[in-house]
Amino acid sequence: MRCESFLDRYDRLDADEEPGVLLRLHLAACPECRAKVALLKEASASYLAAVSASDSAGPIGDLVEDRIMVAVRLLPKPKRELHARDWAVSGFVLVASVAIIPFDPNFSLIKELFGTSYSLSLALVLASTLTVFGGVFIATHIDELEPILKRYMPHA
Amino acid sequence: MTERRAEDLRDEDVLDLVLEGDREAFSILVLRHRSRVERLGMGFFHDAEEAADFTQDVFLKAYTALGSFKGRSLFSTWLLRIAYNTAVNAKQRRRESLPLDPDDILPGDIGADETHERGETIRAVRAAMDGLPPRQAVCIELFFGYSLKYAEISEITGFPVNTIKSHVFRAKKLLRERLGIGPEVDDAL
Repeated sequence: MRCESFLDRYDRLDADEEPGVLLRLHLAACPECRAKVALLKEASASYLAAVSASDSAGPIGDLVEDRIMVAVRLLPKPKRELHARDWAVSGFVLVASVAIIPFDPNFSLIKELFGTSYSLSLALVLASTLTVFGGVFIATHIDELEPILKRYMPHA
Repeated sequence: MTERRAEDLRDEDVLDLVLEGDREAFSILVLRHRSRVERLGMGFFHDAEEAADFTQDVFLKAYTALGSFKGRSLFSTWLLRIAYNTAVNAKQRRRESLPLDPDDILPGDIGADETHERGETIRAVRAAMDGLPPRQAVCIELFFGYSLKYAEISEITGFPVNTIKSHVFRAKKLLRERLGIGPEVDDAL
């Protein structure tokens, strides 16, 4: 590998990314590139140090921290939101539970005792439960669902 | 909570404390990340007072949205994304089209005691940022000044990784030239 090509590929590495085998081989064999890489690393590290030093000597300091905490004490306490994945799992369990009810032996027994009027009431209750669950899910995740709706219904 | 214990806690542990109702624990996060947010604000607004208001705004937004933090990225990345979006929206609201002043986003004066490398690095990063729109210039600062990875910068700014890579690549090239360590074409293994 030529030194020019090495430096070109080395410069494309991400922060803290380890160079690949070819780059390491060249680095091991070429003292000039080794020195250049060391200098570049040193320069980047010293830049970071300069920035960090300017951070600690920032013009704003403790005043902002106090202002933030005063405002935080006035705000309602944040609550952990249920993630969409948890909602999906709960919904799946709910639908699966509804789907297996007709296959339950107890259900057949109850159906025999109370007739079809019981089935209709049960179906209405289960359908209402699923509708409420779906409605609450959409209402609480409208921001996350918006891009999906836009993708599949661009004119909506 | 003792100072010692606060230092030992990871950001995620502190988040748990806040979400369990310990409001005061949020001050640990403010203390840890305030200066980075403030620096980003200075880059956009060029004014210490505005940067202070911006920093406060960002942390209060983060506090109210804390429950929606899913832990898919680091808290610092999530916070910087809020900061970046807040800054961009504020600039758009005010319809400002002033280019970013690299003097604000980068460390201050280069003193006589600065090393050659440090001075040249600062100048090179400034040169790479010159002429770029503020939103893109921030990518270079996030790489060199915050030591963030391309993917993290992409997550914060919304720019594709390749766009960020090309800006950073250009900055590194400039840095090599400034340090006098550019590639020598005839050099072969």
